[in-house]
Amino acid sequence: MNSKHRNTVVAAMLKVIPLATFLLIMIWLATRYFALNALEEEVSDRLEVQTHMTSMAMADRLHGLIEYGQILSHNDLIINSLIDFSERKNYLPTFFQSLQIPNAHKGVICLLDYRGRQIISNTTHSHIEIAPSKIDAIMQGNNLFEVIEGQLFIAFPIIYNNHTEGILYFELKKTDLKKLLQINNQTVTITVVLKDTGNLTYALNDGIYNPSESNINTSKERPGSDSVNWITQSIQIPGYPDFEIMCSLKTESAFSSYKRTENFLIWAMLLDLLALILGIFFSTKLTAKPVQDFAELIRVARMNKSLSPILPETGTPETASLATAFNRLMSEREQAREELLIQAVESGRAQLSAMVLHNIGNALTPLDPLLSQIESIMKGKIEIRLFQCLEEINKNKHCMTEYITQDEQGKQIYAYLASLPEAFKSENDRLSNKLTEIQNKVNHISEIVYLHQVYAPGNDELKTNCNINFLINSALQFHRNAFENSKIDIKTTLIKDIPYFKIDKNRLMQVIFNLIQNSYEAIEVLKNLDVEHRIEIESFSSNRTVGFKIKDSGIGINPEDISQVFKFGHSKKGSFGISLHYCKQFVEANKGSISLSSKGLDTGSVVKVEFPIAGYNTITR
Amino acid sequence: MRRTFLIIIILSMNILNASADSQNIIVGLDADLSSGSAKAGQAILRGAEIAIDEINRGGGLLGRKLLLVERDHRGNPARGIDNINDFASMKNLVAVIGGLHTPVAMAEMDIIHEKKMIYLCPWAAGTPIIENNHHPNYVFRVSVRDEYAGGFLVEKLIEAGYHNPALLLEQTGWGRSNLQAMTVALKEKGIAPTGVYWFNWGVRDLRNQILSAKNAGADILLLVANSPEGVVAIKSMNSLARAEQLPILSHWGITGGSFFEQTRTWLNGIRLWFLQTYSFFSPTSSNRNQKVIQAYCNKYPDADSASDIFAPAGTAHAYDLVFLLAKAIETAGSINRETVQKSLEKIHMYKGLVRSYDPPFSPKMHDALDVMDFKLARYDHNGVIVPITLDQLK
Repeated sequence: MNSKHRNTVVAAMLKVIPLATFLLIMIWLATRYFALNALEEEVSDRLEVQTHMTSMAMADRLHGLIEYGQILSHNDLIINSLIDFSERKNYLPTFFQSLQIPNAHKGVICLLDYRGRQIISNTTHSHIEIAPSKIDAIMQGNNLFEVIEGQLFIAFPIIYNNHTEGILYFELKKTDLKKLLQINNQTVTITVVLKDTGNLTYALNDGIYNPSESNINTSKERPGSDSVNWITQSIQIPGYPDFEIMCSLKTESAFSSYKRTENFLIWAMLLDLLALILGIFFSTKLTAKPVQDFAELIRVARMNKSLSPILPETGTPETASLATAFNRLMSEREQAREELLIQAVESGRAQLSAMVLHNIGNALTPLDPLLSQIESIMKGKIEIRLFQCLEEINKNKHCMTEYITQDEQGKQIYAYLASLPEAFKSENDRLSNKLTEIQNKVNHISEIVYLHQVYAPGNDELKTNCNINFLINSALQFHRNAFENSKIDIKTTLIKDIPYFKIDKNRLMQVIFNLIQNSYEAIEVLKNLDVEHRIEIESFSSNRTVGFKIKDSGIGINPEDISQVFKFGHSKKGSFGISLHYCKQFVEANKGSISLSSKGLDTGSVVKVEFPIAGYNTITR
Repeated sequence: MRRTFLIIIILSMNILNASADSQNIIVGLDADLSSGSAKAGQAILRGAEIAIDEINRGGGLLGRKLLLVERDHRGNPARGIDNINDFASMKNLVAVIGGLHTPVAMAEMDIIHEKKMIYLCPWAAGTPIIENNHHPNYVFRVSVRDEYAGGFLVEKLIEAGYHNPALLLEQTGWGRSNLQAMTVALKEKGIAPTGVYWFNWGVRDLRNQILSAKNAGADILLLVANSPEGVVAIKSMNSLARAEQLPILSHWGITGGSFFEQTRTWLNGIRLWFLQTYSFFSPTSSNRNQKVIQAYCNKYPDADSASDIFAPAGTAHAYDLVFLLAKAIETAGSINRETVQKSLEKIHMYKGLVRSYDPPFSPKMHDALDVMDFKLARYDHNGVIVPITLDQLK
């Protein structure tokens, strides 16, 4: 690989790889964003479901506790024991010892009288005291449900005949409450928040903790700690405003599956990038050489000033293929250009022929009245008078003398005959003048035909020494009648000693003719307007160039349309749009330049044509 | 000036009233006034009020008015004990009229005697209430004694042709009192109960007990229950097939509450009789009977006749107890409870509403009624307790 090829490869990589890397990173970030969002939503939903299920399970536990208490408080043995004051000691202890709070077997169940005095309990060591205000509330038939310092206290009124006659009291210490609320959930970490003191108290699967206790601070995995990221959701246990549970998921565990996916994604993208780099390397390596070879061929062709370069169809198959395609394209382009030029020449010929015929027509038009005038002259009054005179003389040939001398009419005949020489002379002069006019017209026609013959472009380009001033005058000659008829003022400023240069004068004549015709038509559009109709033509030259400029006062061109006027097929006059395109083709084919300028509509236009006379066209004076 | 004068007058009257209240002889009432046997408590209250009104109209006792102070124990012994303690702290309190239930009265026994409270019992049949092993015994009863009631009920059911009674008893001191009395009475007749079935206060269904009794061959149930559990018994009986039902001969506890109101739709199909003492429809003293009915109807707007006197035994018993207490106070010439207790034991003769007490009490016998005062009764279709004859029991 040479340095050019290497540079090409490096350049391609520098262009593509950062963009590809950027796109891959964006895809990764977008995928990560959407995947994480979806995952977080899914995890949140899962956590919400788990939290809801956990809260419902805990509510069930608490409901079960409440239900158990209500069943006991309605138990007729317990009710009866409140009444059977003297003998209850015989059966109540056994009954109470058999009582256990579901899921909290060590919870205290105690029977109290209507003033909260303990009657019996399921444990021997308990001694329950309830504040009088709370007793009053219970005696009103209300359950007492309170959490104090992590302990749960529930009291149920024992109602008999619609009156509260005693109290059944549950006391669950922290460990009992912990057991009661212990929900086995492998998915989430459950924290129970007790709002009894306004502080958060929570259980982390293995217990209920009070924030004031030290173990909460030493738990490395507690929700909210710095060491582990958690997502949490809190919900009040339905029906128990004192209890709020907070379920937590470790984000690591929740997102671990995603991390595997993300790692796979990153590796896949890195492999993509690697594949892209290798692809660019090899593809660039494969294409760079043919392309560079081809570019080199083009460069050489341009250095040889070949407008239609023919590239050697050699080298690698790719280069040869490109050269073949290029050569074919250039060949077709050249063929098309020549066809266009032929079309333009044909068009020019047609225009010239039309102009010649028009000029010939213009010249022939006055011949007919002239001939009529000659005929009328030749059939004029002199002949009639002579025949009348001859008739009168024949009538009076027998008395000619008398007739001539005495008859009034005879006297006039004599006078008439005497005036005949002068009359014939006058007639002859008039005829002579008419014939001269006819001769002039015929000469003009001959001149036009001659010019047409002289400047009619042939099929083959023939470069000869050419004076541009002659061509301008000749072109104006073609248009003379048209200018006179349209009352267009022609002003020519043709410099003396303009250099000759080698060019196909017939085709240049066609160009000048086309440009003047274009100005003429631009003015014709305005012929009904009371504006000045003028065409100014000047020639110019320098040491290196020769050219001419045609300025008209015609309709002008929109500045934005100027770039379009030389394009093939562009026309706003209903023509084929060939003439100006041909002009440009011809001028540029002869290394010249053509430009058209206008300040806008109704401001006229200026077309300037300039040819180099150094190097390309041989100068001859 | 005028306003100041009025204030002075009002204050003087209040002071005089307060002074009069402080001189009144207080009789306490510790009864179930609002719970399952509230009608019994209310009946006792009305009987005591009528008697006190009558005494006070007659000039009172020892020149002082009698004043009734009520406390509601709702059938709950704990409340009853607290009530007795409360009464014990009252100055000029001479006695407490207790009422329903035996368990309450039995729970109060120790404190009654500790505080030397005269406890007048118009409605609680437990034998141990009187046989309480306290000397002196401060409890005096004008009511049924289970010992007698058991014998009476057994006697009647046998006379009516039933020979296989089953006992359905509440698991309280009262139930146990009746178990003792009834088994003794049956034994004396050479009969053993086909079964003894217990239930608790607050029970909601007694079908198992009834069916067990039926299956054991019982031809009648001897029921010892208060009104709420009596309702359950009737409801349970009613829910059984006719062939599975048993006639019920009940102690009088069921009449202490709104038993009839709660069972009237089922009572037509069930044979139910129960123990009563006094009936205003078969008085022993027509003059006094009429006088009490009149006073009752005058005082209580919900009553127009004897038919409107609910739980009549409670009213009659309380009425007589207040007069017996008054007689003892007059005899003692003091409201000192020790003196009055002795005086009660020494009343020779008193013609009361329920009976002529000759004597009502003695140092060895504080039950004023005996089996001769008992009768069987039933509810008529209006819920009025009416005596029945033996033929109606068959």
